[in-house]
Amino acid sequence: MKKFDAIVMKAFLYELPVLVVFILTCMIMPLEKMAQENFYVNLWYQFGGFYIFGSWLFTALYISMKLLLAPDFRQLVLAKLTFMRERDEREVGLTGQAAKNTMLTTLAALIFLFCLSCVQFSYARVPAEFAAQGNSKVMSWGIGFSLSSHENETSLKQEQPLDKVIEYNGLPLSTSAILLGLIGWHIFSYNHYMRKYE
Amino acid sequence: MGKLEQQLTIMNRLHILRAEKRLTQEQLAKAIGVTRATIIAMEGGGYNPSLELAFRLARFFAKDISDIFWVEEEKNNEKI
Repeated sequence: MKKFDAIVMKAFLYELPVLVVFILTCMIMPLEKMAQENFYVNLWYQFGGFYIFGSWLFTALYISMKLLLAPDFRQLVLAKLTFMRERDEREVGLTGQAAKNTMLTTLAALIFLFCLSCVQFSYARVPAEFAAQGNSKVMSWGIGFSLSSHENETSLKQEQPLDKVIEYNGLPLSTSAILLGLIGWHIFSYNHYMRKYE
Repeated sequence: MGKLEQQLTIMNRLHILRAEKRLTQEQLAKAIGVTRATIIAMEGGGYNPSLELAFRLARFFAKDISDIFWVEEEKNNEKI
């Protein structure tokens, strides 16, 4: 089992740079369209997009499940990932302090993101025929919370044709982007506090 | 703040004892099983060791703990 874990860990780590290059090429050029015309682009698209991304996701899923369930594995992997060093009692204390501060800052970030995700705001110009009492501009704001992401789409329904100047309906980021940002923030914050207290 | 709750400043003479034994920080760290950074932190007063580490240091230098560490009470710390 340990050998299998080692292979999965290597696959997870070594596929990551290839995945980053694949994502970058997807961002820079229209890879999907180009893949239909060029054999080599198609090969890269299939290799990077299907085999590498697919297998990386499976390894990531396996690792995350194991991280949740196996304390030894968690210690081994996360210690490497966060550059954690516990060589003596002082460093154990430092990791504790850094972990506490990281937990608190992450909690603060989560609360902040939660507040931003609940706020809805819009500022719009109303066509002259719909203007009530000569008001040609409408500002509306609200607070909304829903368990499902689909429910948010129906919020702030407009009955009149409005020329919206500003509109804000919760965080303009995808769930994956927020989670990735939080993972990055967590690692950065931990290392920052480790260095600060050292 | 009561007398027992007063903040204590723990002083040490590790630097002198180490110099007497002509040891480097690295050598002392290896001898007592800690990192050099911990020795630097202790000598600079930035870190107070645990009781276990204090005993290890005392045993290493063949001294009593009170010969190495002592308390300097902060007299001006009490709120009026």
